[in-house]
Amino acid sequence: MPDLYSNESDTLPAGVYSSQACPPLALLRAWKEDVLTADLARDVASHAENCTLCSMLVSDLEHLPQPGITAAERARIRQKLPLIAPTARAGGWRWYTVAGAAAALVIAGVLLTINQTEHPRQAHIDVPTVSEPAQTQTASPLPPSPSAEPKVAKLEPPVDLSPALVLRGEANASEPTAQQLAPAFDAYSRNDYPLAAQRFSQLAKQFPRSGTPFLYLGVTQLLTNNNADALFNLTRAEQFVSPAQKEAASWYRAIAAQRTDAPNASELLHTICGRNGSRYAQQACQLEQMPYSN
Amino acid sequence: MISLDEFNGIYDQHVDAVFRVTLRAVSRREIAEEITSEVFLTLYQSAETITRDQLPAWLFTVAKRRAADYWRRWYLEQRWTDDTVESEIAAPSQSHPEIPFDDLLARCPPLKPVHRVCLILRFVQGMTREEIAGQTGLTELQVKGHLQYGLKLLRETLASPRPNLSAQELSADA
Repeated sequence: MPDLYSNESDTLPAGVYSSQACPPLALLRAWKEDVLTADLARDVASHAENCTLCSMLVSDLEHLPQPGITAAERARIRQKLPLIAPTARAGGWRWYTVAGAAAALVIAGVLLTINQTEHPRQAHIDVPTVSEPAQTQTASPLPPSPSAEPKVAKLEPPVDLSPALVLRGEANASEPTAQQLAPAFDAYSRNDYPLAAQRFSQLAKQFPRSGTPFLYLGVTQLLTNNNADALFNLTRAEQFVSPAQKEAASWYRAIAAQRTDAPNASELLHTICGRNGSRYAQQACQLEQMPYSN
Repeated sequence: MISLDEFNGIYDQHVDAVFRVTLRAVSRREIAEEITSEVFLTLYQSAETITRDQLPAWLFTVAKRRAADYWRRWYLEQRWTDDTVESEIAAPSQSHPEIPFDDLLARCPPLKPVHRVCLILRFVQGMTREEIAGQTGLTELQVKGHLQYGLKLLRETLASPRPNLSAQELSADA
């Protein structure tokens, strides 16, 4: 049976001579794409323009379908872009902030007028308050808010939640095992956020000093716009997560703080903005510049 | 001006094309992946100054600049670590008493571009079948098939009589 993977059966007919002095394919391609430095392009050109084999190769490659991106590569590239985009219209951030501020002023003016008419000595503006969340509240599935809140990039499950760890199921009094976490992450990965929140909440109650359940509960709650509960749980997560998850916990906590107009939101964003090497620094700096009511 | 809200749509629409353009320029998938993510991060940072009608040309321009940066760094490293870079790219070989491969390829009309690509990558670039598959998007089995068929055609070309063939060429691979 011939070995499909052996290269030894490929031999040129006897007497046929092939040059080995051609530049590597990568250089030839780069030369064609005009992305080489001047010196290197000159070297490649001095050969390729006079070599039948190189000309043939470059020309024939154009006839082959171009290799495309795989789903895994697409996901990895997206993962490197933990972007947050406000739900602004085509005018961009500035349009949304100006319009929002103008609308707030109009509403406030109307309320003030009404109150002055009905209770001239007690005119005040009704301001909605954010109630303090109970401990480890489970998110009720709220519909996506049409307001201009920053969208959240979903935090990927930890890489050490491997099938091997799931099977091993090592016991630890203060941390859930991978096996215990798996159902919650299964729901999370399937975007079944109500179920994911319920499961993470149970784990958080069972392991009150473990950061992972609080972190992912908080992120799930942000994804369903349960921002107040998210802030509570992400604040707790930041206290208990491992160093590897600290950066993410700080970031999501800052988002929750901004969404709920928490007094320390600006400070949290500023801290991340100033963190050299943080993957969230740039976004934090941009979010920090978005004015919010306080 | 592109709203940041449109960014995800732009990413989904253009990431494949940007990756392909980048891969053509650098020939390494992992490098193409890095550069593609840099391109979209740059788009995100520049979202307020870019208009929709500038896409995808703007993306391709940024990708090629990043590819040029990659090759510039590669060349600098090569220059400092290996002084023989220039000498590795030699002039095409002069006439040789044996049959030049490029001449044989040119004389074999039934060969299609895919056969020639596989043959050149195998016997000139020295790639394995796996490497050829990686560079062309073919499967290893396809590469093997194309090589075998191409070699068969080359042998038939050598065996077929031509009025101007030298005795040496006629006796080759008899």
